[in-house]
Amino acid sequence: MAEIIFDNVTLRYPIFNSRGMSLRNQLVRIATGGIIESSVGQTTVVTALKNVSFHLKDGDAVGLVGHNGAGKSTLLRTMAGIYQPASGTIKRQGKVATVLEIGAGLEPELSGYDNIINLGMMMGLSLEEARALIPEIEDFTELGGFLQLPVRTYSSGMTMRLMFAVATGITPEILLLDEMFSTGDAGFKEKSQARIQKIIDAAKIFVFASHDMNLIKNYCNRVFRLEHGSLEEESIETIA
Amino acid sequence: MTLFKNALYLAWTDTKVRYKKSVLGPFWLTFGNLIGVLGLSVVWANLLKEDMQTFVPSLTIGMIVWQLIAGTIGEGATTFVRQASLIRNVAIPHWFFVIRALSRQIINLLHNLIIVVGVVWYFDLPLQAETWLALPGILLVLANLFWMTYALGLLGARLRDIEFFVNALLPLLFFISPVIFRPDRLPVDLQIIWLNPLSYFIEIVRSPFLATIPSMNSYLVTVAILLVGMALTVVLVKFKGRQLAFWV
Repeated sequence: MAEIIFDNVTLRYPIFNSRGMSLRNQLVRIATGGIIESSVGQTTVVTALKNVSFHLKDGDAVGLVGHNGAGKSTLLRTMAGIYQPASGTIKRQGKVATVLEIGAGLEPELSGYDNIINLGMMMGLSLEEARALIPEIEDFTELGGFLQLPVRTYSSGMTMRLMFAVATGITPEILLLDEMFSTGDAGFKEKSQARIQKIIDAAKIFVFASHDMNLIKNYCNRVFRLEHGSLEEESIETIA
Repeated sequence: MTLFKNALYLAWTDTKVRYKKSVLGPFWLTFGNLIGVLGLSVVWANLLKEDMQTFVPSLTIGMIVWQLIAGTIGEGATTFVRQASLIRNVAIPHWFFVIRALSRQIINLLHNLIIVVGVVWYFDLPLQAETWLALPGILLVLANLFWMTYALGLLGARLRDIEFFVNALLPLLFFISPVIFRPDRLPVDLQIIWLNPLSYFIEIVRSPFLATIPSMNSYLVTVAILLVGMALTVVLVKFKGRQLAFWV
């Protein structure tokens, strides 16, 4: 059974400018007792999520909408357990797979095959299990001979195919996708939709951040709107 | 457990990537060290008026242990920063990256062992019961390097100066450690080297090869550093580890 429960989650992240990252400024700050604190070691704190609460259970396919910088990617990372909240509690159950950033975790010098194994192993598969993914990924990505070439030679669409195939190939219980279908062609969109449908049908959780309302209508049965870090659920019918 | 094994495997992949398309591959390190050891041996054995028979093995093993320590500490501060894209996109426990970085250094060490084997064979060093003491010695050193990598990695992600600071400090630590000379063979009393914690690390690995049992003191200091360092690292991870994804 897969489940994600957010209870009053607030997430703040610090943004350090180059001065905040500097050891000298940290030392000066200690030495001066904070008198000139305002001019050294400045860090901006962004409240990316404000008192977010929701409950996702098996079979939920959620579309995340909101303008740029509303906190969609941050929310996905928090769901995945990458970002830790400043307050509130998160309960998560189920194996998570993420496709958040194109090319993340890929080693550009290695072949597609080697990268499949690397990615699989980083998601916790054994070497044999990761190897066993290959035939199915060959089939899904239709990359053919390109899988033998270094990943640096791939286009962003090809990279996307590979990453999506690995993330869904490990049969996750929770699949988190950031907007990325813009790079895929029509054939890929069709195939990926079928895969996502399979995950939803297997009564698992799927969360998808996008600006494309048609895609969200196709994939999802719930819609969350993020605005300045606050989350509100909307009815899927009202989405234009 | 699977993840631990995977870290070892991926360290091997990292090594392959690093030396891709080169003929000698990681053996370039072995080759570089071989040249270094030969050059230093000729110069310092004459300068210090030492006997090659005892001086070269001591220098070789000292250099190779130093390579392990300096390599690990030198890259320690970038352990997490280098993996930033992974840390921000996949939920993987942070120790995974520490093991991966440390394993890469161990792989380098194994390549360098060829030089040690060569020296043991050429100088016909007596392998005896004491030699086995090198094994717990190296394990103690590796355990220390684990917390150092973890702690430096976290600090280095938050404060980007740490990396440069550590690398500026390393040459100094090299000069005040008994890598080139044997502490008991110096004409002057150089007590200052025992203020350098790395000196003890080198002693407990090297002495067994030279048919001497490392001093109890060396073991005590190494274990003490390990316990204190581990405790500090645990505290650091507990209170600040959660922030790492924001820092890298």
